[in-house]
Amino acid sequence: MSKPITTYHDAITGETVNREMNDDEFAEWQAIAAQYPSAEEAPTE
Amino acid sequence: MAVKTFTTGEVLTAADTNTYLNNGGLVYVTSTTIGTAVSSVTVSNCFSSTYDNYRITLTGTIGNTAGNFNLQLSGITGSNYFIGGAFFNYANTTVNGYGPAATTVWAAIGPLGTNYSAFVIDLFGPNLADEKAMFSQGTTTGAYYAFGGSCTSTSAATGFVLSHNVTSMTGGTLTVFGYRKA
Repeated sequence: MSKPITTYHDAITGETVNREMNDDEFAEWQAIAAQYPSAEEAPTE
Repeated sequence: MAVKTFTTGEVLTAADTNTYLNNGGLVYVTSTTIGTAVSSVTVSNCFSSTYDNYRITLTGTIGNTAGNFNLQLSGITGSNYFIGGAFFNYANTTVNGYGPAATTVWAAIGPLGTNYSAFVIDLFGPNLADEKAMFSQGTTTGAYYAFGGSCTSTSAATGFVLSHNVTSMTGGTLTVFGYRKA
């Protein structure tokens, strides 16, 4: 299963790339998604 | 003097040029365009000792599904983030309070709609060895959010990650400004 895509921008170099999350980013993203908030818990329009 | 009015024929000196042409309150730091169907946006190296406080703006982003933006400061991944405030759906008068327990992001720092989204965030001291604070306002076609928050970590952050709380987002421009200190 491919990892989600992230936009990565470096303010010093000006580089912007759209790429798969690396392992650290994916783990952190999963931790956030699993913890809070779910669509039911957070306000939505 | 923060403002000087020059008169016709007056000599514009190097000192005046250096002082007044660069004396704006908000100074551009960086900007990026959000990609297609991305779950997060990482902006690195945008916070430094040059400024204490920052303004972050976003316009024109579309959510794959309706949801919210979450924001996490780089390197601060613990349950340090508090947020509270209210959101409103247009065309009715109901005020909806929102104040979750501390979590690992500023949750719902802005609304993410399927037609249009925009927000402004004032962020205080992200690169300082002190607690941080933020105030945010955002809108979609149909909803408005107004929140404040704190971050109890005293670690200095140099960037941030903005993510969709459910799925992915596409497009729009994210810009970071610094509040000039002197």
